[in-house]
Amino acid sequence: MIGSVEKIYIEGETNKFCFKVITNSETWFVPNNEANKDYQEIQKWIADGNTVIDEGEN
Amino acid sequence: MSYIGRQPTAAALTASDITDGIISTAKIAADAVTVPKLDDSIDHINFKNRLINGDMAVAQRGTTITAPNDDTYHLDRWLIVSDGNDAVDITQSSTAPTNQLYSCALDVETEDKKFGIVQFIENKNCTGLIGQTATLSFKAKASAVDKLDNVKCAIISWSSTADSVTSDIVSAWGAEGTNPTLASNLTYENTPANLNVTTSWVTYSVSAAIDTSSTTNVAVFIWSDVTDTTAGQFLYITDVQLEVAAAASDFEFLPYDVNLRRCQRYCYVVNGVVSDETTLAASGFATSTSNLKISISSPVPLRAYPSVSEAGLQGNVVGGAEPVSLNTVQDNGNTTFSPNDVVVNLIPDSGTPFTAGQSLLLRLGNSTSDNLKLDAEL
Repeated sequence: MIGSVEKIYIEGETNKFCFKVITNSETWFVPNNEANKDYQEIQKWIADGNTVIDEGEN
Repeated sequence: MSYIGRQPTAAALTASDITDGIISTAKIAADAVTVPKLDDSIDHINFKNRLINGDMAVAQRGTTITAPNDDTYHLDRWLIVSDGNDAVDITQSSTAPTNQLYSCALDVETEDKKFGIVQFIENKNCTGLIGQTATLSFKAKASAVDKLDNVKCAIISWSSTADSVTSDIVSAWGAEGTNPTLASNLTYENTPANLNVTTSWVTYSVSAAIDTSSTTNVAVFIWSDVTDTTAGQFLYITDVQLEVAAAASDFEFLPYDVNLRRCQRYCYVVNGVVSDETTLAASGFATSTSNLKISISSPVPLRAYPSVSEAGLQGNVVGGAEPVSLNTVQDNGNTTFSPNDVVVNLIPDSGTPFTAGQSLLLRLGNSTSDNLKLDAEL
């Protein structure tokens, strides 16, 4: 079960990012790739009204 | 008038009546010889089982999964789904049928909850399965049947975007004996019924036509449909097979190395070793004093670009090891690419210990809980 999702920008890459997902037991880094099941879960989580933390690109 | 074999009598024909050369291969109808009629020594048609790790031999995530959440992978390729979290603990159990090593043991933890195991088959491996009659078979037993007295199984179709399945397949578990309501786009292809599992190993099977329109993925589901369970009771399941056939045939054994490689398309785990910090996870270089770019090679192409997690990673350069943590996983942006090499960025747990351009090795600490996981499951 997803607890929080944060958008993490990739150093040295313009406008490229992944998602840091914290569940109640683990931390996963999820690629910005629609074939990934966790990416799909994030989209459903967002559709359910949740918000991704985005502190912007450095 | 001529006869094949012998002139008909009141007695039934026997095998000895069919003499060599009288019934030729050409005279046998193409659909007359079915898999169950083949001799045991030749019925292991390669990869007839559409499921992976049906004998529960591969357990990269660990042989004991305590208090798993609903909708969580455990033994390779197998999901636990349950009415709430921690319905059961899961182990790769040595309680197994004769000539088998393992089963999946589901140990009731939270009483009165339904639970089951699920495996989805990747779209690419559903070729020749969708539109056919398939048979799901497995061996099962319970430690006691005073409560675990209603176990069911189903072949389920997914009729939406390929490989974008709802892994938490149940939307409502329902009352005892009432088949769970499946999530959208999922359909029972057979009518699940109580298999009357006993305390001895028995092979159970169901057959069904996978004929739901627009099916893109197929799954199997084996579950306890009981809502008055007792903690500490076990349900054991193994030798799970789904084949294109109207009846079950013997379980297809695959060598462990083949089984493991098939599982590693979906999940790849490297674990640390006690008293040995040399377990190599990957290699790469420092892009700055505080960032490492690492390429992790998987032994087989992954199904999709994976999610990554880690514990106990260290970046090794000449002069010592620095604890590091994952920061980002890069994506090549190509959704059709099956990656062998997964690029991640790591940062030191403290300070700026690296020099840009420095090459380094990424290794795991000396604990079995130290690990690097790549997850490309459905």
